[in-house]
Amino acid sequence: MPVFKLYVKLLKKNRRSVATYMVIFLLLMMVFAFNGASSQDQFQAVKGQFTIIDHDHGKMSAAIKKELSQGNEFVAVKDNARDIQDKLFYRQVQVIITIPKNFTNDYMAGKDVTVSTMQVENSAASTMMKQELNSYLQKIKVYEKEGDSFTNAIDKASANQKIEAETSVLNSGNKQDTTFYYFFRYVPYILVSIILCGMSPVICSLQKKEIQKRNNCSSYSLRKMNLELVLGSFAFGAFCLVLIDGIGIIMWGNQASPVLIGYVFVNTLLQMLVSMSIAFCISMWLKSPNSINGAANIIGLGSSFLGGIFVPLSFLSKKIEMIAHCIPVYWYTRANETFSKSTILTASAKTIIYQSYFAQLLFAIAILILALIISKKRYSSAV
Amino acid sequence: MHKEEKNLFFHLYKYRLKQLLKDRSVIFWTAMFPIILGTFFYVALYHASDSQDNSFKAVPVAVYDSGSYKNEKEFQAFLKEVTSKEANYLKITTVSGKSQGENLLKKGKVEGFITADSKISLQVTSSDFNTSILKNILDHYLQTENMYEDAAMNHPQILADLSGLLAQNQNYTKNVSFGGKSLNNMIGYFYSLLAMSMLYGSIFSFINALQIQPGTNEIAARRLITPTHKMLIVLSDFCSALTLQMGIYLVVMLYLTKILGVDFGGTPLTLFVAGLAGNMAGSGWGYFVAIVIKGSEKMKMALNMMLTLFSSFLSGLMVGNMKPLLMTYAPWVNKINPATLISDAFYYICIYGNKAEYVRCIATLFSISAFFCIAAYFSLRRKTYASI
Repeated sequence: MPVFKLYVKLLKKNRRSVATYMVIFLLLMMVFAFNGASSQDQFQAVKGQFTIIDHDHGKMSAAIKKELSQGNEFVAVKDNARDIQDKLFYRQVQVIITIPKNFTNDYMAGKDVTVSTMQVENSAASTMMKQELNSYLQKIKVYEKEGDSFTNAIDKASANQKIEAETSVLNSGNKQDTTFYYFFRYVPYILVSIILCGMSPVICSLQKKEIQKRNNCSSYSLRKMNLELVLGSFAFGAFCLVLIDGIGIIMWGNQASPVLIGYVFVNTLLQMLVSMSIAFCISMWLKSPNSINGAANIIGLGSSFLGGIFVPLSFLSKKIEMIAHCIPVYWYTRANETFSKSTILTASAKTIIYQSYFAQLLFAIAILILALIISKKRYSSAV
Repeated sequence: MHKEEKNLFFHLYKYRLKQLLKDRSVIFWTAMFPIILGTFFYVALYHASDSQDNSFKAVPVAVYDSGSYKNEKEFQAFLKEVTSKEANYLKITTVSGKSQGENLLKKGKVEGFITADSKISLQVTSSDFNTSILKNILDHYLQTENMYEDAAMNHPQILADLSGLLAQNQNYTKNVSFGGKSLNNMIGYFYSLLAMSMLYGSIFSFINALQIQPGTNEIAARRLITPTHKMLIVLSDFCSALTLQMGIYLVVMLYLTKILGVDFGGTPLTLFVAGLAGNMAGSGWGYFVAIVIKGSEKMKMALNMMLTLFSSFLSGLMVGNMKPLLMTYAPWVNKINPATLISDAFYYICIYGNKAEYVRCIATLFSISAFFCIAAYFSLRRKTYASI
């Protein structure tokens, strides 16, 4: 197999640049996985984030802070425009409460008092926190009317706020996302980028006109040559796949059952075939490494955004989701979301998974056929 | 600069620009990359921010219509109130058996299952925003019930007034604006995309830098055989790459704002200066990687692309909350990362009109560009070749 051997030789020659791609992409993947992971076994109310800019420093402001911190997360913000703008724009806090000077004294004196709030527009979390605040202050007023002292009223209102409805989680076979699935969510982006960047320079160098003309003179048929090129690409793709899957399974494999790991592996294998076909096709079509880098960015980032990798599928409108059906990554994500939500795969979940597998396989075959057609055309034009 | 040098500079600049323009595939991909991705962002994300803000919709819930529930008249009245058209917090399905309710819950038809046997309790399948709202509503009922019981036991004289007091709904909060222009928060992705496209434009200076190193490049050997001062060649190369980058930036901006209608905010001048600073940083970056870092051309190319990608990742291109995360754990990264500085420059001037922060970002970008260029210059100067 001379072409296959040459492929491996060229790959070895480019090992440093391939290693650079691999190290950086794997690093990105780890950050993605750790950044997105969340795992919960019991019911935990979703926390809103708030901050208080306290100009009062009285009993009331301390009570408000303590009370809101019970079910929400207090985030420290500096009292300057830049910090406030940053925290609200990036949704690090949903509401900023400014308690004015003499708030406690005015409240005790029976004056009408208000706190200023700045909030993220249309955010249900900020509305909930504001309602909680209003309800708390109202309760203090009611307890005072009942004859309690101000301090007692605060204590009683706080005790009342602690009364909760008994909440349990029903085991429905559904579960929260884990780091394992977050890691595998990003595999298509990493695979297509590594395979495109690593494989394309090798195929490109074989596509140079002079080399192609020399190869065409030989008795080796185009079919054999392409077969060995595909085999070489598959070997490289398989190496990347084993590396990525190996890291995922070694680090977080304990978060999934062996059967589910098997399903995840098949999903990544099919995505590797799709990535390999894309890389093969692009290398046949484009000539310079600079163009390939540009194409790799567009294909990798574009399909990841539309296919539900960087932005969850639930964020996409129905129309866009329909368009996303034409992207192989969408089918990978669909299967991966099904794994991530189930501990036991029901018949309907299996149908979705097999559908997704089938769609990816079809994409891989279709793109590979397209690549071979381009190769044939190039062969004819080089003769 | 003497008149002859000036003429020579413009001559070199013109021909370098022509040469770069001839590499159509690089120009095509450099310009098409932000245009195609910008279109994807616009289609997929620009109108998706409403759902990200968790805008409230009535939560579907099942209630077990048991004997004890039928006796809980107050609870029934409360549920009726929270499902009314005005409140619209819940959407209730009444079920006659526990298993029926649990089935609805398992199938995902409802988000919670409320039973009111000996006490009011809630079953859910996950901890998310809707189930938290559901629990809050039930908590509120139990808390109010407790207040009535307490008043009945300890202060019966105010029991009659209690409902009036609780129904007053006095608003203790007053909403104030935080002074920012209300832009789609997905605009951050566009800022990061522009940052990446500017850094990606480093490819032109990268090519230029390769072509002034005779040890590794044939064209460089031809160029440096002339008695022209190396500094003049480098300067004209730098300007030609920057011109091309700015041209691409303007085309991309025109496409995004005029054709897609993305609202960036800011004035044309501030957008232009931000583009200039970003592209200069990109140019400097290309020179730095191609000259200072040792290795093969392919290796340098890989490194250039990966560093561009990594810098863009840190600015939030792939994961939107990357920048605030770094702001909390490693704020210095945001202060030196070129892609973050570019997107921050847009962010501060376009959304908040914060000139001080905008100037800080622009000044840092110019400094980074200067640093890269000086480092590249020192690495390049006084290199002579006895034989090439």
